[in-house]
Amino acid sequence: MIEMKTYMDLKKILTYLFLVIVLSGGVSCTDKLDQSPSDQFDKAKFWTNESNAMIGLTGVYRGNISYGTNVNPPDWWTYTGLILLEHATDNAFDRRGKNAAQNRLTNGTLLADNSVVESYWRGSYIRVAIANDFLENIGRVSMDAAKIKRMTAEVRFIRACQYFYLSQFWGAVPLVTKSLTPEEANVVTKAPKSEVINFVIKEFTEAAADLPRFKDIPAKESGRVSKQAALAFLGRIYLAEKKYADASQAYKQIIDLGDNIIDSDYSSIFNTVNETSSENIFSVQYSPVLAGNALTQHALPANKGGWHLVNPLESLAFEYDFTDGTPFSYKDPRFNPLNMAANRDPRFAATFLYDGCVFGGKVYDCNPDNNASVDQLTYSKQATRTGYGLRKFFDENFSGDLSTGYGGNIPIIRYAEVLLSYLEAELEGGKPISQSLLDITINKTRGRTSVKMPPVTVTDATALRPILRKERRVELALEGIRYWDLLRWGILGDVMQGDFWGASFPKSVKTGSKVDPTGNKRWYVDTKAFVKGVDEVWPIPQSETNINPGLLSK
Amino acid sequence: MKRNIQILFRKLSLITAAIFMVTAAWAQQNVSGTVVDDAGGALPGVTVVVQGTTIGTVTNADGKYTLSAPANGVLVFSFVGMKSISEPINGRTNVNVTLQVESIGLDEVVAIGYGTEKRVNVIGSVSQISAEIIENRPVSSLSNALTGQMPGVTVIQRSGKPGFDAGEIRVRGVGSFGATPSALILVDGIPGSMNEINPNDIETISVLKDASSAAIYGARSANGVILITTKKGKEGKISVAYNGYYGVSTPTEFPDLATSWEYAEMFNIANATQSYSAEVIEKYRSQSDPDNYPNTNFLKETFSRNGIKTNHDISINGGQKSNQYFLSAGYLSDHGIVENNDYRRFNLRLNLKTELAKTLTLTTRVAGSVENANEPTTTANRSPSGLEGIVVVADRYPAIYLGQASNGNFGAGPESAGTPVSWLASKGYFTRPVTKAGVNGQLDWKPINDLLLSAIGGYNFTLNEGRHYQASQILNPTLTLPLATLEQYKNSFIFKTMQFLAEYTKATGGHNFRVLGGYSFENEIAENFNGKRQNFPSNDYTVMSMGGVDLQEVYGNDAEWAIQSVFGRFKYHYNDKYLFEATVRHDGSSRFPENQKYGTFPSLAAGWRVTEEQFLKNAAPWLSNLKLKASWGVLGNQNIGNYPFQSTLASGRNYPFGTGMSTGAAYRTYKDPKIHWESTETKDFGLESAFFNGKLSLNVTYFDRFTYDVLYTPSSSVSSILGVGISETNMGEVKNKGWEFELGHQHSVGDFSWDINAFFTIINNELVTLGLGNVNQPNGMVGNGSDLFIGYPMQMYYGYQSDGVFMNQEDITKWANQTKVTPKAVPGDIRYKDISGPDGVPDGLVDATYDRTFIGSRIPKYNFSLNLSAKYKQFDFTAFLQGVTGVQGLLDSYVGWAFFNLGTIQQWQIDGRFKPESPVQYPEYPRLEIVTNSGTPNTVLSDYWILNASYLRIKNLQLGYNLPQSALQKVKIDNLRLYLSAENLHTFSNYREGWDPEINTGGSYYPILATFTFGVNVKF
Repeated sequence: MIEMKTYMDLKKILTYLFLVIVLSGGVSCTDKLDQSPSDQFDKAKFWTNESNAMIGLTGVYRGNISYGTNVNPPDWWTYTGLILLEHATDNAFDRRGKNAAQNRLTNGTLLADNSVVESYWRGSYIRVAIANDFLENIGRVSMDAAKIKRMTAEVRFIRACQYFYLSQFWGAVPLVTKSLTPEEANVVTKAPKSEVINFVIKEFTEAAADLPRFKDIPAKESGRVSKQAALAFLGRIYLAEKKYADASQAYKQIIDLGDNIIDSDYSSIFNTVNETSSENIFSVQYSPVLAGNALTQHALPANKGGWHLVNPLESLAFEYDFTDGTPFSYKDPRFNPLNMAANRDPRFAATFLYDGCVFGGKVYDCNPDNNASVDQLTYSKQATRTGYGLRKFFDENFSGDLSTGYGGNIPIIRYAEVLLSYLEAELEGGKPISQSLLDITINKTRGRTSVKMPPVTVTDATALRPILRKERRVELALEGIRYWDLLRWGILGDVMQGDFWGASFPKSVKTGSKVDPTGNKRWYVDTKAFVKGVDEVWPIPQSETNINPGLLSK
Repeated sequence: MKRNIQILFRKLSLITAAIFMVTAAWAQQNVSGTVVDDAGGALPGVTVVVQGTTIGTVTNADGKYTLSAPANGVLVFSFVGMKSISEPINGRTNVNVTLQVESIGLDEVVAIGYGTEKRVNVIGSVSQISAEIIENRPVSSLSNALTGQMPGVTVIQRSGKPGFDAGEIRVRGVGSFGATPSALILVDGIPGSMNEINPNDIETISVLKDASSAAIYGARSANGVILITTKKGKEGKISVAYNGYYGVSTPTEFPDLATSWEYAEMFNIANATQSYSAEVIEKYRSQSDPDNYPNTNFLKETFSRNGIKTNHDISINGGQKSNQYFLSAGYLSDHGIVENNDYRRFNLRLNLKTELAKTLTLTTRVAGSVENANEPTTTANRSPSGLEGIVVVADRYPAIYLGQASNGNFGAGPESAGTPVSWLASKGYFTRPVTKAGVNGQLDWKPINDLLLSAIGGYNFTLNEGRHYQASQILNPTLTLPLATLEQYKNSFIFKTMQFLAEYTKATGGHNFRVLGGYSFENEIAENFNGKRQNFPSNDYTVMSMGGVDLQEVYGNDAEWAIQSVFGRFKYHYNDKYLFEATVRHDGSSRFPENQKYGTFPSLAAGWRVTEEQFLKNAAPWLSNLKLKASWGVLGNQNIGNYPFQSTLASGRNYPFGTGMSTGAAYRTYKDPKIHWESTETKDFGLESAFFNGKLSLNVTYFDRFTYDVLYTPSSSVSSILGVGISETNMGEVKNKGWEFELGHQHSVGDFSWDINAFFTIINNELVTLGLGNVNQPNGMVGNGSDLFIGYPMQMYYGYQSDGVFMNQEDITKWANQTKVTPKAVPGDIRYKDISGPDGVPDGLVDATYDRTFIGSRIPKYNFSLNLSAKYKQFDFTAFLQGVTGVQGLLDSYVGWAFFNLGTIQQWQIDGRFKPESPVQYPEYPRLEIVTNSGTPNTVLSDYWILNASYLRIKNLQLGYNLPQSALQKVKIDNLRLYLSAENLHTFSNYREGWDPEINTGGSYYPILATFTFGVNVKF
């Protein structure tokens, strides 16, 4: 009887225990303690096949580029990294005013906590780390040796570009060529500038040898590095180092390869219409939505919902000659304040928004007297501060999401730069300048069908230098190269001084807060006072020396 | 808790009393009467016995009794939790008495890990609050009802947004600067959260603060364990309770933004231009042409209405001995102070206790909730979006921009993208429903008297959904915002647990043993999915399929974690006088690598109830309780991401070669392959005392928490030269030491009774070491150079010390060279102190290297609160005051600085600004200037901007009225109470004018709300 009862109880108990276990899901326990992420690649298993290697390579190209609007440049190769650097030059003014970080690079208030300086620094080393990891592992992948060679060259090029920028703007920096542990990273020391430069030259030279020619890169791979891109960067570093013969040689190779052209149309190579033109040797690739270029948000005018950050200065606009090649003058009757592009180098209209121009079906009205216009020239509106806006890079028919929807690429190296740099290397290298040299360089950029400015015929080096520099400034306007040009020409400190002005509004009632001494009623923008001998070298970011005070040493 | 235990005992005593009644038939004289408590409420179940006899009875449901007794006899009235009264009959036939509540605590039972324990025998530091404290508080998130209710428990509420207003709970300081230092929250033993639970379902909330009480939860207990016990069914007749309230909310503080004409005037000053002419300013001032010269207060247009909070809750409770149930349904509706912003929650709970056999009990708990939070959003193309996106612009856009014109057209705003006014009127919405369902069963088997075996199984399902539609909008005839986008996500979580417990209890000759052993396994699987489309042709069709297909995005991933543990506890009491406890838990977690998976967390505790010693009973009869206790233990924390050690290449690093996207991956994060548990060694010494029969009580506890192997992500301690992010690694140590004081007093005089509880907590938080981040700064401080330094509290501000502003050029010349911070100082710029230099003394140069220092911390050092409750006849009143001090805050960016990134200016900035024409050395605001989003030399972090965030809040006032029993009996209602309550009634602080001291923001925020409610509690 008792036994029976116990048995019944036991049966009941087992039943309920079973129920409870069913409730708890009957999960197997200890196995569950081994977990791995489902949305990342396991590093130990990754470097095995070609398709993964390609995925890793893509990651190197991506670097630290982030899509959508960026406050600070996450990477050199972004719209913020390239174009907003123009705010530190005499080409453009940051709508956010004198305290904006890019403006402070060159107005005499550059400090170690400058957010742009920190951002460029950080972005460079992020790319370096991704590249180092790739280079340390690509050898483990079993695939065609030729492909490994090409990928290695691409990654070495990308890494060398970071050191190119670091060496140009900071000089001596830590030269990291392998993956570090956090402990190692915190105590790195600076390599002398010369060591960094030598590294960059070596890397570009060797990468160029292993990279495919521009013409051999199929359309579906456009955006990948070519031999020409590596040679162009090699030319840049030689120019900066004043090794003009080497620079000439590098540029000459590109010209001799003959894969690239000066496109007949100037404006469409900067937007989605013709961005794959072979004039664009190497560009930051953008794509709508998934890899959007938020320059639209940051720089479109207010009437398009943009934030109008990029405001070209009059000092740039002034450089655009009249169509017959004579220098611009306000006194000249060909100057029409109601249509500033009239009778001017056609690149003016392709580069600027100016009062009264039509853009995207709307009139860009920045007249300082027009209170009703969102784009009125003021010191207060989220609109122009100079009377000019950015036109280059935009497809005026674009109507998507401003921060993610635009897919226009931004050129890093154009063939036009190669030609002008080649001429510069020849000129500065003391080589005799021939008309034929001019015709295959500067006259190509000026002479393209859509520009058709009269050819340059000056062969005297001293007289040619300002003409070449002006052509370079106009042709490459707002592409992010001016700061580096001023720096290596040694004139950054001279240029970034004194008052800067905006467009001339001779017929407007409202004037800027300072009277234009030239009597042209130009709108006052800002005054700069670059500290010569100091501000040419960017400070190591404060956030970095907070952690590694050793980097403060000279 | 106490009340519920009383009710339980009341019912038990009804049964025992029934036995008495049988034997009480032979008495001499009939005596009757009513027994009430000190609030005048009838007391059913009170035992009434004739002294020295076995004659007795119990009071009925109305507190009435009748018995036969000798005319010269003495009646003894006794009831658990009340003081017994001996009342001579003296020939009376009617004897009415009032019973007083007995000194608190002595018989109180508190919830501890895997069981309960009598309060007197608890050695650990356990604070418990019962239903009464949280009932009728108009808070949506339970966390906010805990503020100030327990010593050592800090709750900071940073937002008043409906559904997202939960406070951040920290037990005894902030235990870690790495793994999230939040307490483990268990609802009936199953991990849960504070937000979805219906406060009316709660019976007790118990916070385990020290090692000995928490160690049974080992790996996740380092920062305290919060045990929430829901109500159970009770044997007896069906009882139905209804609680409801209706309340109105308004912001506790509201900033005063400049009018359009004030803005224009100030802008001219700040920009040193005549951007706005006198004529234009006059047009703004006269408001004669508001369509063209508007004056729009976008913040008021956004926070435009009073909030309304409604709550209804019904519960049914009852059962027989073999089957008891508690069933409740709750509804909460919280309308925010922004149009289309609300939060609703439905709760359902069924708790069943079934006696399957004499030795076998099954407890089943089924609970579910459906929440939905709604808010307006911006039109597409704005970042941030949602309500935050509206607010961050509402406190930014100056009043000169048009909201809506008289003809209905909306203003284009400064960016031709509309304004908060137009966005609030758009057809966009952001809705976030959360569905939760949980079931857990516990089977208790007592095969022999002293042994209890339990098996627990639990399953929780959570579905988080979101749907965010940003509409297209016609602002005016010339401006249409065409783009419409829909983003939708569904994230589900399935949590499973299985636990087995065995507890053996033995008592022989004063020796009491309790041994507990157990096994637990928990596992959670998450599945996430989201998608996005653009270009919806109409705002009327906002389902995914109606969007444009060319730019659609879809994402998804899974995540999972598991933890497996064995644990044991040994308790030994001798004569209830000497108490000893030892606990150990061994945990294995999926978050740690192969050789580091398991951690062991032990604790020891001892207590001495001095008042149980005979010598003290004789020497100090006024001392009703004195207990000394001490505990030690090591606790763990694993509140980090699911995959902290697995070295990976991050996916999604795609790049568009050609015309399509190429898949990319990259090394982005450094992982520590040897990562292991974060541990906290906790020591606790305490004293509990009660005097004069419990009229006065004082508890004092000293705690010392030392956290080591902190699971820190040392991003700001690692050079950016590393080039990748860094994941958690075990480094650093932090100390939290402090004191907790609890002072209680209760008394009654006639019909008036009161109860006062005061809490005071001192917390000293100090960073001991940072490991990798121990950078020797040239200024002598050791730390990461930004917010963590050895010897200073966490959450600190590191910046310059200021000394007012420069008065004039001479002042600038005479002052230390400040050009490294302010390259071109002008009068009205902040004057920073030169506090040190390379030689450890001021070097005449103000720079970042030597002149920044500790200037404050967001962790409150002192927490205090005062709970006052009083009863007089039918009335009850409670007042609850709470405050913190020794804490700093910061309001920066849009709400701290005038003209920040095209922002507006606040009245205090206008009034307090430095005026060159009448300069003062210490103005409230420096000279006006245009500030970009990268700041100016005046906005670098300095104590000029650090605010004293101390406050004292009248957190809650409540006045209740209990309708008299006589009136209620006719309608068969047991109890009916009406009350008025005011939550966050008033705050005393020196914080910034217009800002609540708990708000720390740069622009996006939601005001903390004050709520005034009227409520009803009915029981029948």
